[in-house]
Amino acid sequence: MEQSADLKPERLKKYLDRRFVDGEALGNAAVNRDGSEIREISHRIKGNAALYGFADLGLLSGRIVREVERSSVDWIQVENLISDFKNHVRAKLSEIKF
Amino acid sequence: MSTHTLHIALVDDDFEFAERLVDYYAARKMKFTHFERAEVLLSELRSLVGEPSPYDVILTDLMMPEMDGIEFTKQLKTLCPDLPVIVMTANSSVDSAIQAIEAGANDYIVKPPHFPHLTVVLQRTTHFSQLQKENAILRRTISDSESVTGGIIAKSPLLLRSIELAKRVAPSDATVLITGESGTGKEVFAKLIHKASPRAMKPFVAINCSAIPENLLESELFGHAKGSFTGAESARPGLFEEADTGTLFLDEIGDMPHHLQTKLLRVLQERKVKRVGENTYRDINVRILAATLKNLGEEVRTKKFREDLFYRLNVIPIRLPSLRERKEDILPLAKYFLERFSTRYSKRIQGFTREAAEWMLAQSWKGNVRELENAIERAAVVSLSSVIGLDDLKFDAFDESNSTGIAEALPNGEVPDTHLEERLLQEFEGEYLDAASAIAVPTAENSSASTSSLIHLATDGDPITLAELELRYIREVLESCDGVKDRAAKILGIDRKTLYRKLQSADAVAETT
Repeated sequence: MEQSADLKPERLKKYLDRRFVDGEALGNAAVNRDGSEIREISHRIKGNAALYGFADLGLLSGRIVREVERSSVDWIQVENLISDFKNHVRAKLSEIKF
Repeated sequence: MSTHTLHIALVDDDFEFAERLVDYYAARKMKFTHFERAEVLLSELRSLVGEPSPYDVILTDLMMPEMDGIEFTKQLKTLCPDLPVIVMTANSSVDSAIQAIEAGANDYIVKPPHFPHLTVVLQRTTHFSQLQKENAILRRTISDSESVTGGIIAKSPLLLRSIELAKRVAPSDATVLITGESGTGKEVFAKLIHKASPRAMKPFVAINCSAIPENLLESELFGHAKGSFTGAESARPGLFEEADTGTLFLDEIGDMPHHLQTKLLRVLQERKVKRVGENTYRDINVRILAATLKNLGEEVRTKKFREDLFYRLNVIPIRLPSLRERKEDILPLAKYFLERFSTRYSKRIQGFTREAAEWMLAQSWKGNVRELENAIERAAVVSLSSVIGLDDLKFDAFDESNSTGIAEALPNGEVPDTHLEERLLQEFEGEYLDAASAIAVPTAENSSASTSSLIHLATDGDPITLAELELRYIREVLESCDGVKDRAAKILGIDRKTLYRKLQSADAVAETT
């Protein structure tokens, strides 16, 4: 968490709230088999999550990016990863202490 | 490392990433300005034609929807080639980062960055870029100042001819023999040749053959093996090896002992050196420049110098004229030295009186430029005025017979131009300062202190010491400033503390006497 030591809980919650919305968008995109939308959202989170202290979320997003970049996408695997992503966000939200 | 706040332009379409960097670095002497689109930053930089960039460094993402980081880097480098760029890339796209480096980016980091790492990369990149800019400025400055005369002050046709020859021979590896009286600048010329040669970035090693005891000169030049003589506790390369790939300047070659002349000749012929006490030869690639104040031709005739070595060294002879042969350079050189010594000794000396200039032109300057330099230094030190007068220059050590007189013949047999000195004085006319007005200069700014009585201090009655004169001058100025020490210190060109110290020490002396 050294990358986010200077951040207040409100700021962390705001970040996770946005990821919660992203999780819903990722779920919808998976239903629509929209790999490019999933890639765009996940790539962004992969690049910034660690700066807010959520390195695991970044790594999970990286895995989602890799899955949708495969020549033959395993959508079941993508949906499972998105589900993990959403659960992770929920868990982190519940850990925030004000 | 610079201590000013670094200003970084961040180009990234992810506003959360940018927001985090802006916040994190706000308290760490780094200011980030965020651009979501590369085009916006490019257009801002285009609008600053001719002005310096407000940013110290650009940090850009590689993957962006409209213009990607590689294209952006290419366009940016066309627009601002000196502005450093760091690209950010995901692990999977390191190949793209390499493409960006090829496009002109200075460095790359993997996204998400670790803050301490990013900090170091930003500081290092800007520091390196700053050094590159300073280096370019220095190179330009050196190149500008040396482009005409190689940094040598020269107006006289004789010296300009020697400079021209030196510059023409510089690019070759030919051995040059520089001759001229003591103080004419033989080593300066050797350096000029070296700097203008393809070996400029390689070592320039100089040795004065007359300044080193004969028994040490051999090992100094050629090196020695461990135990080769008493005191040789370890092996040591000689100056030939130290100068390898560069230039070796052998000053006062005419004083080289005969047996070493033989050894030197072999080195010049074979391009190999053998250390004292060793049996193996080492290849060397050295350009030789030699100098002497002696007439080597005469030395050859009297068998003091080897004829074969003389011809080997005298491939390109360059004769440096004495200062009395190039009177055109006396006043410009004097001005140059005065500026240098005024700065060194924290004086505000502005020039010479006409009498001083006339006197300088009339001297024979047997010690040449070095003698002139010493005379100006001495004058700058002893002068109490803002202008160098005749009294400052004429020192006891000077022999009146030093004066050449207009009609004296030059060493090359030419008859001097009798109108030359007058013409030079006229050319320098704008540079003279009238002694009386010059003395008034320090007080002219903001004081009405009269200095005329000071001249009387130094000349009226019995001679006084320099310390007494200084004290009287200080008191005179102080009085003229109605005792306001700040103002007096300003006129005297010293700080207030120094003024207090001088007054206190004078009072202390007065109390004890």
